[in-house]
Amino acid sequence: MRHRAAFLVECAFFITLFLICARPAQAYLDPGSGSMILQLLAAGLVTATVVFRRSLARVVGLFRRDKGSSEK
Amino acid sequence: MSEPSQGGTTHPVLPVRGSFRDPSGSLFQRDGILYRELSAGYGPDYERLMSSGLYAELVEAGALVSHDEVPLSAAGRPDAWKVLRPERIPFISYPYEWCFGELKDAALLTLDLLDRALRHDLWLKDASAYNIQFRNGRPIMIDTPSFERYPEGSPWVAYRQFCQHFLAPLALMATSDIRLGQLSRTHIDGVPLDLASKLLPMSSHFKFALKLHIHTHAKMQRKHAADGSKTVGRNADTDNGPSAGDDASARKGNAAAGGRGMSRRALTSFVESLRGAVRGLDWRPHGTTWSEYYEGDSYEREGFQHKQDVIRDYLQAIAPRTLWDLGANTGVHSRLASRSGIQTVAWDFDPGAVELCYREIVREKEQNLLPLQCDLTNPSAAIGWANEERLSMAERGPADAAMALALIHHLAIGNNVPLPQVAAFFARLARHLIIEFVPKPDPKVQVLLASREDIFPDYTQEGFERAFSTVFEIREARPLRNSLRHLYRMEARGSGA
Repeated sequence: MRHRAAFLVECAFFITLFLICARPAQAYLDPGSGSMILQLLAAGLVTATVVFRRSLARVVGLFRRDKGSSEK
Repeated sequence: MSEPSQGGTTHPVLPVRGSFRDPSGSLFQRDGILYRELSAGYGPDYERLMSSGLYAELVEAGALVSHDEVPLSAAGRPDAWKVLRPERIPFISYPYEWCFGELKDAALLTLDLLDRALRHDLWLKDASAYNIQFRNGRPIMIDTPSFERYPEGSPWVAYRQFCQHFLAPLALMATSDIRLGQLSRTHIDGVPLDLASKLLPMSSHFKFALKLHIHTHAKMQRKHAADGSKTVGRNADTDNGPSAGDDASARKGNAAAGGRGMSRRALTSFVESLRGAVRGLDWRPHGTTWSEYYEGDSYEREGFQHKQDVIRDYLQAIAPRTLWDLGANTGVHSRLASRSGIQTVAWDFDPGAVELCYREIVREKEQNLLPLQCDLTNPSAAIGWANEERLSMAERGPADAAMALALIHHLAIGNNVPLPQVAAFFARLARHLIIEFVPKPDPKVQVLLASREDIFPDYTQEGFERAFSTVFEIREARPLRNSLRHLYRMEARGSGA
């Protein structure tokens, strides 16, 4: 129950943040509130995932290069 | 809408029927020339696009159609701010006609355009799959007014559209069934995410990108459906331009909040996440009806070679600029035309065959060939608003020439279409026709007749010639080696050549 309340408070916070901060889109099409809010809610998670993947690719690339050069 | 010419006659302005949604710019034709007129509201965005170097960069990369600015007197509307004459694309195709690879490449181009635009303080205000076309085997953006100044701090307004037009159909095709790509026909603004979410397999919930961009996205849409109506109202208010009152208050709110919202870095990460989602989807054709046709023993080598020689001769005699290959399979015969510089569209109903054709085009960097999916027994219809937004297959013709090789028996026997009706339809599609007649004793026809009654007494070579002679003049007919088949060259009656 406490988890649910915390989740609702968190959602309310982000929605309020969205309504206050985000500029109204000038789009001729309806961007959809759910789509806009999802981007704001998931921005941190997506950024972290992308940064992690980039770092992982760099590390893997480093090992591959090393392996490649040692094979030569 | 018409404009008097110097000679006193009028030059009618013909609006392009699918170009009405975006008030920034619309397309029209006059005297067979395509124009795009921009509204004054789009002016600052256009200036930024041109002065930032983005336009030149994208045109150079073949990612955006080039255009010339022409005098304002060419405008079709009195309130036009600028008139452009964009480069023409040889053939306009639609997402529901593309194979998986074409849709995937169109999606990746859209994300690449957004990524590049952000580096120039611009972005894409929409992500419609109809904004992408194919030229010389590669996708190209045709909607110049899609680029507008990036409103710092805003989430991507076209996120939902991108997911509906690209990600959802690609995910369905790759993970559920390739035929689900056809949902784009019935859903002209892309596959609704709640529908995609229902149709995707359970395993898609365990893939982060699909879970987020489709399943959670669908849930969020449902949860905030009521807010959506407010958003629509707000957009309607601000459609008049940046000076609208709501926008000004929002800017103040945004400034008071320290310009937060969605940072540029977060937006770029979102683009990368979407790119990863699209790249992670794949579909390889195997076991589809025709994709292994030429790998079997149905065509003897010598007979096949002879057929190709006859086609070459006929193409030389016709000398078309455009050609439609109907029932093209993987485009083996289409390439006889495209490799000699003829703009060729290779139509086939099998997504596997179209996919294989496209992959070869990409691999070999082939020009002049566009493979498209189309069931000739139910060809692309005119759809959208007033049945005029997206043209039917026939409305996009006629081509100078059409080829119908090893096809007639599928239409006449496999689908019961009477021969005179096949002839009449082909005459609508092209002025010249190269057509192969496959007689009843042919093994391929025997397969079709094996499990059904032969109710086709008119399906004979004489019956075929009689039916086609009503709308075509038969110019040539040659027997094909190692078979009972004949290859005809015909010309539509009254085509004037």
